[in-house]
Amino acid sequence: MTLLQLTLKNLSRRRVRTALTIMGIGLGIGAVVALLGLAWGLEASWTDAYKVRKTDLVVRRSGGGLIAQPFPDSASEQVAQIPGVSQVASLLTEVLSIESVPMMVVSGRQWQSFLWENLKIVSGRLPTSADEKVVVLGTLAAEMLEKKPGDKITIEIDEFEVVGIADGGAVVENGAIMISLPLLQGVMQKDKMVNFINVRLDPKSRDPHTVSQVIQQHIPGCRVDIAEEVLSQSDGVKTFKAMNWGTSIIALLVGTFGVMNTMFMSVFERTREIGILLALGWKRSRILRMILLESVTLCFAAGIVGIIAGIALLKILTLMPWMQGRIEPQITIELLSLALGLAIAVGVASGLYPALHCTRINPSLAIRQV
Amino acid sequence: MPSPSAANAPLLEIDDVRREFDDGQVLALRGVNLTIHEGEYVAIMGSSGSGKSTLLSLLGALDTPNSGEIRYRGQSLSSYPDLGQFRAKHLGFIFQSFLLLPTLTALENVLVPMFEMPWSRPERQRRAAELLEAVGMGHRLNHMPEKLSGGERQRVAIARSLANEPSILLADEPTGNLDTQNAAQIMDLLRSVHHQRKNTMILVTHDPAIAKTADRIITMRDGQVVEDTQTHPHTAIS
Repeated sequence: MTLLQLTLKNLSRRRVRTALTIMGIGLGIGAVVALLGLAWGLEASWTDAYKVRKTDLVVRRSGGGLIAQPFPDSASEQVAQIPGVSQVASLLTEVLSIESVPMMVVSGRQWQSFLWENLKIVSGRLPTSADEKVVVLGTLAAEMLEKKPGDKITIEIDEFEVVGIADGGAVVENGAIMISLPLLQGVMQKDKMVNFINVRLDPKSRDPHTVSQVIQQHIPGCRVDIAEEVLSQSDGVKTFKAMNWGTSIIALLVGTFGVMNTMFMSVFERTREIGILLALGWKRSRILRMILLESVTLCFAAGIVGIIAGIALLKILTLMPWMQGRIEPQITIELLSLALGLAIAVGVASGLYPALHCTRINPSLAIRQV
Repeated sequence: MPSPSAANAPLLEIDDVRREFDDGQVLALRGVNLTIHEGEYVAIMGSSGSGKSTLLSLLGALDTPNSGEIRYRGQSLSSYPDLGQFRAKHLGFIFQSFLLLPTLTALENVLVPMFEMPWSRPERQRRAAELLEAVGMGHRLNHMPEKLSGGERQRVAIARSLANEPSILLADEPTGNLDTQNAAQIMDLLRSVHHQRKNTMILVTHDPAIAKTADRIITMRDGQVVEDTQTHPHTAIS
């Protein structure tokens, strides 16, 4: 018999209470997995989009959320002149309600820019000119809107023809409607305005940080981010992540007190037994280890339950219309390790006080308890 | 197990021990002086509240005196850095209400004290099974305490008390919860264990018939030793 076997026997004596405690903290861990999976997924989904576009730098206005405030397109000409910049592509991105889909990314792209290069036509074709009143749908967007080439689509009050379905290579691209920049500027009444400039650097040029500093100096009021860092630097995403962490911490705190309550009830019920163990010569440190091991085992099991619940929740969320095409949740080894690590930390935190209480038990009095 | 050369050497010396509770309102022991030798079988008698169980708790290092000293083989118990280790290595306890752990089998209950010993797991298993066999419980190794009769539970408790080969067995009313037949069997077993293992046995009882089986009877009243009688010559070791 090992200490772990003894621990499992102790936990299995009140199965319903143990199961309910596991469910309680498991839900907390599940919330962590789901919320962080979403936050990390949001970041990764947009970073993937920049990767497939082969964008090195992103210029936008300082502040703002995921979709930045617009600024004059003339800035793109200034950016193009900066040494080390190879290509620029202006973009007006809007999140609009399109027919039955409540939120959909509409991406107005500079005509003949590299932003059209990553689109692999699955059916139909690309537009033939900047003025042709047509759109291309990402594969996911076509699915959500139930459209095929030849169908009509209404953006705000203007009607467009769907001429092609394209695989953009990233979930954000596949969930979007692609349209030429001047057409979207017209629909949104934002003439000659853009909210992003995608920049490709000359491979032989200086490092991206230096170029971004130079761009920032030339265009006051704008910020320039390395493509992989755009999302993590966005105020909106920072807020989203902070809220997710906040919710996760509250869920974990609730769980911690739940486990602590369970452990206290458990050790109070077993005061006499702990007194017996002390009378039989068990070191107080071994008693402490046993109670901590019970708490950690409980939370480890809750961690497994939480991970399963979190993944299930993410799978359900990805089926929701407001999620599709915008976020692909990230279920990574890092996330799962973090969830299990947090579960174990909760186990230690919630078991420590009851365990210390046990080490102060007087065996002579404890064994007389009825 | 004591060596023959240790015969009749003082094992426990109790020197003017006092124990009070509730800030001195209850005087459980009022200056007890005793010497218990290697291999002795001592019965401590007395009515309820006489202080016999308090004395047993102090001898078992489960409690500490307010004043006075208890020495084990000449070393004061207060000088031991870890009384838990002292209990694990030198003492075996048998309680009136058995105090087996309810979630563990008979075998596992006997294994519990062995956690503190430097034996391998197979070695512990073997020792525990042998002890249960020796107390007539070899056929019930994997039974839970709730499936055992009172007499059987006390046999398991006796096996557990012997787990770490203690030099002293402390039994607190070991037959108090048993019927006459089972009580007689348990006392036979305890005497047999004492005779074979030659360890010191200190037994608390209020039953004169049981006390008469001991080499020596110590009678307590109001927290003091009022009588100390040698009933049989002490032959356990010598």
